[in-house]
This record gives sequence, C-alpha cells and structure tokens, in this order.
Amino acid sequence: MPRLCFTFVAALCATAISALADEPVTAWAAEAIAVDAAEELHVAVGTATLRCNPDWCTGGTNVSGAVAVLKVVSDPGSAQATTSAVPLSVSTGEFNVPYSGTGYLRFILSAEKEGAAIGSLVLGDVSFGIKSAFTASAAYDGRTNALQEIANAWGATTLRYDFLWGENATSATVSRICVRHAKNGDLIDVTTNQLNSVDSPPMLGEVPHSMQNLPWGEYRLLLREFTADGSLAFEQLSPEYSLPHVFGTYMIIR
Amino acid sequence: MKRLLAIAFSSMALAGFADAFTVTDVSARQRWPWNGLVDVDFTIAGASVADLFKVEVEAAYDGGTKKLYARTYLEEPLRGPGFNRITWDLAADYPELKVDDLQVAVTVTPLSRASLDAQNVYMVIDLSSGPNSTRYPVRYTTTAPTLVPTNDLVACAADPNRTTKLWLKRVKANTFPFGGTNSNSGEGDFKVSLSPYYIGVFELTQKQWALVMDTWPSVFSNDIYRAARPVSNINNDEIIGHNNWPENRVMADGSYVAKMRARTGLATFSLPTEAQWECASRAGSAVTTQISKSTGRCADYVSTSGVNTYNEGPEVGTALVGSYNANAWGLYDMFGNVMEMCLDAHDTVDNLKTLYGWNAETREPIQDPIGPGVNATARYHATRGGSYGNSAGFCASHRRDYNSRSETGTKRASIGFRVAVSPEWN
Repeated sequence: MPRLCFTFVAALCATAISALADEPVTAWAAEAIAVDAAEELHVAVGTATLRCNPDWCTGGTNVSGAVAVLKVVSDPGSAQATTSAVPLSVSTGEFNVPYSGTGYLRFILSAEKEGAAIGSLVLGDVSFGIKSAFTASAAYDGRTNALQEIANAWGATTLRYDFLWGENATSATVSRICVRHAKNGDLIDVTTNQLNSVDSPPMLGEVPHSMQNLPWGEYRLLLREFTADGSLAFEQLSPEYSLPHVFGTYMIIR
Repeated sequence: MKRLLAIAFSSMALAGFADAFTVTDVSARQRWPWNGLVDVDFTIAGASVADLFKVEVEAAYDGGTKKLYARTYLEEPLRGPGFNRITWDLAADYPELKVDDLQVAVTVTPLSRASLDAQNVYMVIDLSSGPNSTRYPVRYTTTAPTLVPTNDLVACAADPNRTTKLWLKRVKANTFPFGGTNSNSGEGDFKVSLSPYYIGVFELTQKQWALVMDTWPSVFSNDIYRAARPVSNINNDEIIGHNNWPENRVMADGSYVAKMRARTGLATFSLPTEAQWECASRAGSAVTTQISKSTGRCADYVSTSGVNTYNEGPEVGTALVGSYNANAWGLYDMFGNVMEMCLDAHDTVDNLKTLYGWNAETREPIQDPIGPGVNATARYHATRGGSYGNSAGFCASHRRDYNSRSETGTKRASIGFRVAVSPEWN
C-alpha cells in the first residue's frame, strides 16, 4: 500500500510538471519577409487617376527595361495598416491607374528591373473625403518638396511649391478645386479655378493666394507641371482642407 | 501519508506557472517600408486569463546564418492568451538593414503567478478604431495610467485613458468576507475565494460606450464633459443582451459585451460578479471599506473638483470618472458617481448560502461564485457602490443593493457599470 501511494504521488508530480510548462516556447513565422529600415521620403501622387512612371524613382531613371510598381497602403500610421498592389500596377512607361479610395491612403511607387528593386521609393499621401486638421501655425516641409498650402483663412498669403518632380518641366500651374460646398455638405460638380501659372525655372515659386472671398467649403490644390511641348510632366493634388468661419486660423497640409 | 499528499499538492499550487500552452500562427510584416516598424502576430493557446507572458522577438537572414535580436518595442512586451501583436522597431535597432529573407520568431516565456501578484499588472484595450472596427488591440503593462487631473475639466474630459483606452487592473487570487454589516468587521455573511481576474480601473465612460455602440444614451449629456463621465441610462438588454445569466453565458449579438468579446478575443469579458466587485472594493481589507463618513450624500465626498458634484443647478449628476479617490488597489469611484450593475442577480444571504452550499461549521470559502440568475426570489440585478444621489451609507463595500427596474429593462440615470475579465467559468 505505501508503494502504491508513493507511485500515486510521483504520478501526480509528473503530471504537474508536464502541465506547468514554465519553459519558454519559441515559434518561427512560416514565411520570410523583406524589410527595408532605411527612411525614404518623397511625395508624388496624381489625382483621381494615379500617374506613375519608373523614371520618378531616383536611380531608376532611364534604365532600360525598368517597370513601375504601384502599391497602396490603407490606414497608414496605425497598426491596422495594410499594403496591397493596385491592379494594373506594372508598366514599363508612364501609366494611369484609375483609383477611387476611401480614407487616408499612402501610395508607394517603386521601380524594378527583372524583379529586383532599383532606385528609391516614391511615396505619396492622399486623403479621400477627409478634412485636413487645423494647426495653430504654418510650416513648410522642405524635405519632401511637397505641395504646401500655407493660408491664412481670411488674409492674403502665398502658396509655395517646387516642381522638382517634373522631369524637364518648364512651366507649372496651380489650381484650387472646390470639392464641395460646406453649406449643405452635399457633393457638387467640381469647380476648378486656376490661381496662377509660372513659366520657366527657377523651380521654386510662390503664388499669391487669397481666400478672402471664397465661400465655405472643402478645397484641394492641384499643381501641374508641363514640358516645353505642353505635355503634362507631373501633377500633385493636396489633401482636402476646409475653409471655416474662424478668423485667423492657419492650416497646413502635408 | 496524508502529509506527503499535502506536500505534493501544495508544491503544485506554489509553483503557480501557466498551464501548458502553445504558440502558433506566427507571421511578420513590415508596417511601412519607410519607418522600419515590424508587426509580429502570434497566438497563445491553452493559457488562462490569469496568465501573462514575456515576449521576445528574434530574426535571422542570409539563410539563417545572421541573427538579429529585438531590443526596441513600441509597447511593453507583455502579452496574454489569444491573438497578439507585438511591434518591433527594426529601424531603431538596425537602422540600415535591408534584406529580402528575414525569418522572424517569437519566444514566449510565462511569468509565474507569484511574480504577477507582486506587481501591478494592467490590461489596456484600445477602442480608438471605433464602432465599425473588427478588432480592438489588447496590451498589458506594469505601469499605471497617467491621468489628466480633474481640476482641468476640459482636458480631463478628453483624457485618452478615460475615453479611448479602457484600463483594467489584475486582481490576484483573494479570500475575503462577503457582505455582512458595518459592525461584524472581518466576518461578513460568508467567505469567498476568487481566482485572479481583471476589473475596470474606472466606471465605463460614455465615450467608451459610444466607441463600441455608436450611441450616447446617458442623461448627463453636456457635450463638453460627457466623454469622461460614466455611462448610465442603459439596461441589461443593451449590456449583455439577455436576462438569463448564468444559464446562458453567450451574450447576445449586438450587446456591448458581445461586441467587446468579438473584437478583443477575450471570451470572458463581461461585468464583474457581485463577489468580484466586493473583493475589488475591499482592496484587501477584511473590514468593510466605505466613503469617509456615514452622513450626507455620496456626492458630498467627491475628492476633487469633478464637474458634476451633487449641487443644485444644471450640472447635477455624475462626475468625470476619477473624481472620487482611488482605493488601496488604485481603483477609482468604487463608491459614488454611478451605482454599478453586476453580472449576477441579487438574492438574500440565506438563499445565496443555500445556492453555494455554505458550511457554517467548516467556514470553507466558496470558490469563484458566479451568482444566481434572475428567478422568483432573485428578481433584480445586483448593484453596488452607491451613486451621486444616494446617501453615504450606500457607499460601503459590504452594502448590497439591486436595480428594482432591471426586471422590466427600465433604465436609470444613476446606474452604470464597470467591466471585468474573469477566469474561465466552470
């Protein structure tokens, strides 16, 4: 009987030890991933039709056989971010991709040759139907040379831009697009007012930009750059911004 | 022989590590190519809510010949059972790394329950993705929430730790006297032992309700402050979706608890039972704890300048959560603000003793009671803690009350709840 009891106790202990499982457990992912920790910041996006060209990727310019690959990141900046390829996203030359997204999206343009990445990434942020946030101060992002809008909502100021991105561009236009009236919130036909046009470099330009007589609404700014023969070299659309009934509010759109 | 058996059993109990567990479904993905954050997803199966794990990430490339070890994470690398994500700041640890064949692994080490009991452990549920979200991330930390003080009411009302983040605190296994009176210090009506569980640091706020349900049902709806005021004016149908606990432990689709369970993966997310509420309220004290005095109203004892102390005027009613003192375990507003609804129904002490099989001679504690359901004698849901409108006598840990309108589903402006995550019910 004592032996039986000892066996029972030993069995209990053995059961306990195997069930406690206090040892670390290591598990590996089934699939390897590609990572790139180096930061690359550029901006180049189109309007509702995305325009892409492998030449826009620095280092990918004039590489015979280079193709452009366009991907879109949904909900960037959050843990729910997902990256997916845009349909018809590979081309050996400049191409247009119809795209009507929702929310805040980030686009990644890369150039590849024979499956290997070449050059640097081109990234662009676009918001569809999201108002940009207001801020107490205005700023200019010189790193990205992105289209910047620095506007006193009720005073004249300037819009600064740089058409670094347009290869061989010799002229540019800046337009303001009224996306919708704020009066009733309904979409209306898009109206575009050209603010200014600039001929020939220097690349950095400034456009007087008064918003004093505009109605409430949501607006976007569009920069287009053209080559000498008049063909479009580059275009960039800002996120939406609101024109509110608040005196002295400054805003920035990145 | 009995002694030997006792030693064997006590050794098992003292060891106190997690149950056998597995780690599965590991996958990794760089969040954005330009900032170097890598999300590593994995699932811990076979563990209990009472368990917690330290997580480490490593990686290899060049066919496994070169190794990397993560040192920088976005959040404290503690995780619990179920689906998990840990985010490795690859760019911080290896800023120039660019490889095409990175194999990523997680190593999960269970923390002993003794070590967990010796420190403050919090569960944080991120609700910021809102009512259309399919997943609310859950993380764990040993650092208490940093709170905006209630003397800045507007900033306090926007405090993310009171609005978009739902904080729960781990309560270690505990034995305490249940119920009783002010005078029978240390005795209670009977003794209860509870397994470890988590309970809300605050009463659930209106914003935390709205981020899940997309409604603002509370009577106290001043939109400057409402986000951080406790939700109230809700009934059992909206919270768990039926009136048949504990026979039916599946909460009805569309209810607050059902949505939270689906979006967090926490299968036992719910309200605290009456016993869990009282244990948290006593905070380790055998003697009943209560608001400082036994006269006046609960709301007379708001410790800070909460917006809605019980004064005359348009702002009568609830205060921003955290306006009443925290107890010894760091749980706020256990007394006052809103009366807190519990998961189980209220019944008489004698009926509870019969239900639980209380032995008055041995006085063995009742283990993890889940309460009676609504029945002929227990018609209403238990409530605890007193509200802004009650007399101070309601604001005591032993004091048992009930919502006399719960049977009809009628709502009260003074009744809300806090949340809990329980061990698996048997």
